[in-house]
Amino acid sequence: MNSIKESQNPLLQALTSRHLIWRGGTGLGQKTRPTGLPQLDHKLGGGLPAQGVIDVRSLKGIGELRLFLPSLSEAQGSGRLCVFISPPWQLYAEGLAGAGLDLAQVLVVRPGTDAESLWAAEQSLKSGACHAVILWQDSMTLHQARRLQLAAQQGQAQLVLLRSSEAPSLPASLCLQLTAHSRGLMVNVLKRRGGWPVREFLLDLRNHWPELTLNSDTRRRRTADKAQTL
Amino acid sequence: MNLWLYLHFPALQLDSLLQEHTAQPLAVLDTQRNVLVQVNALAIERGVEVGMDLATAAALCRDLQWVPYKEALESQKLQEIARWLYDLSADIVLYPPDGLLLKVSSMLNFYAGLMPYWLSVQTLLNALPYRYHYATGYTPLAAQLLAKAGECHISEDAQKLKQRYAACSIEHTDLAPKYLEPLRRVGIVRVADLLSIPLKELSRRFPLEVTHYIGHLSGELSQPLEFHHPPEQFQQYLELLYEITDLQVLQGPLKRQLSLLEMFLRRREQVCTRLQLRLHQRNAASLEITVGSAQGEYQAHKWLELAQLTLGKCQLTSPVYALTLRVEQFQEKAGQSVDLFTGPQGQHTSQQLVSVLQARLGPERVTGLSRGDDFRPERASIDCPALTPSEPAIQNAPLLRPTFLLPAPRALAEPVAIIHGPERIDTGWWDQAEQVRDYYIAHNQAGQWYWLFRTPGSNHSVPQWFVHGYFS
Repeated sequence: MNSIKESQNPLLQALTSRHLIWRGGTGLGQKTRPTGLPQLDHKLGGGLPAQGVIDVRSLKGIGELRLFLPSLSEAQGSGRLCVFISPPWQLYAEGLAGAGLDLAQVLVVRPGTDAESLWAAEQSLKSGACHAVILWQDSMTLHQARRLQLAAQQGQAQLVLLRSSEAPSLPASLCLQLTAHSRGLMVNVLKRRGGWPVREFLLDLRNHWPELTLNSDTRRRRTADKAQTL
Repeated sequence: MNLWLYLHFPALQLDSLLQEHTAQPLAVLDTQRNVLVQVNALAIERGVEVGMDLATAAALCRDLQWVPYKEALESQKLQEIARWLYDLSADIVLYPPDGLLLKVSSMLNFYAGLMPYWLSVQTLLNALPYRYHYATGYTPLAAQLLAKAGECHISEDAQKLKQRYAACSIEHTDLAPKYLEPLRRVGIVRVADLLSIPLKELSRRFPLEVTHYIGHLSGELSQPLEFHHPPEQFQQYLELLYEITDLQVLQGPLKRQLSLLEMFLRRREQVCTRLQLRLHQRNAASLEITVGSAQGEYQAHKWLELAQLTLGKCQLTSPVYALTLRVEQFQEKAGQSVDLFTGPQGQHTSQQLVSVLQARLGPERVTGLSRGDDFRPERASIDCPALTPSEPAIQNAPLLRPTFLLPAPRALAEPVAIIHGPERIDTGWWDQAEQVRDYYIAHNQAGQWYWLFRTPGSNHSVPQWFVHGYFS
């Protein structure tokens, strides 16, 4: 529809060709990767950006990594690596394999310092040998984030930056704030490049992670206490 | 008769010093005789000559720098040159410390003539930083004599060659000085004077060494030769002209060594996966550095990049005066395939990326992840060398497992709600690490999902709760 209208309207055509019109959503023509969650894909206009920095701020352990596993496992078809840098604890092979990741294409890097983490992330991103880098690092300057963004574009890779919820905002292709919810995750899209603002919404994960949501039907709650013997 | 080519390197030690950026007169001094044996162009400009003593030279040129002559070093350099030439010519004889003899006749069929052969040898020699004189001859000594006399001429014409070497002064022969003096006294100045005397006559009038020399020179006596067989490894020693304290400055000399390695590997269609670099330090033990590449590389710039990363971690305690590069194992170069449609998307392959990361961070910090065939959570996930192909683990019923495991279980210290469980893991009775645990999935008030376990109570212990993982 749009294209027909445009071709009929010379003024619109002239404006478009001179980049005087900016279009939300379609304007930047960003490539996206489906997340495997139709609801999230719809809200994000097709999925996660395939290149660039995705800044995720959340409490650790509420399911923030699980959110990305389906798209990571999908992207492994290209044969490129998926690099995990400075995970806060030990990555558990069974958990990742259970989510569909091919462990042969997983690289775990545990640098000693923040500077080394950034270096490793930049090298991996611009090498072109990885499709995604998952980095856990709270402290990052604007300048560093911009460098990583450039490296990601150079190597056509995605950087998922997992940070604590209090961390300050950074220039990124997508900024998400995640909070725990009994039926899934509350997602607040703080920034999306080339997209309309989205109101905070509840991402219903009851179908995808039935065991890790509080589904009222299968609810079996028992309160455990250290002193109490079951 | 066989045709031979002799290469004489008049200033092997001087040329082997790194003098790309030096703009000062330089000489090599034979400290025993106190005579300059090699001088560079800048020193010659100032009037310094080979054969001068140090005092005269210093008087002519105040800022003359000199290094002591080392025969062992020259012999080593000669071996290196022989190794390069071995790729072009089959039979090589070493004449330490500064000469090489190549058997030409056996190579003529392959190269279809003397000139093509010489051109390829010359191309190689010109790529090396050494000055050389060359000559051909129908006996090894004839070629040597001409080369040492400073001849730079290639010819197949036996008559002309004989005229040329006959015209040489006897000083250029290999005869010891003590034989030369008596010869000079009886008026023998040129080799031709000796050649005109029949061998029998010669042996009566002069020492046996002179007779042998002339016999070998003219080809009347045959001379035993021992051909050189190059070692199967690459080792290159480079002495620096100045001491280096900053590792950044080391790049230049290192690059030169690596490009030699590249040339070596390229000729053999091989790659290597590991370099050993030894930095000789002035007042401390030499520093041994190993640089590895998972994929195998031959290109100098790739190795330089990896070496820089490794060197970045090192600390020099004392100035470096020399470096040795050594490679012991080689691999055949394997073809690397890239996707035809997507093409190479960056500058590195996965293996190269792993090498780069490991070079800077250390191999233990860059690993892969694989499943262990064990039910105990600590052993179900193991670090393996990076890029290990994953073997399909024994298929269990799909179990819900966390994405993170704590390095050590932590006692539970907050109220949680248990959502699933228990799942009993009771195994390991065979290897002294028996585990009996009931695992639960729970979530806390902040919304974090835990993987908990409880040790079952028994007569002498109270059951305890531990956090073991996160469903992050």
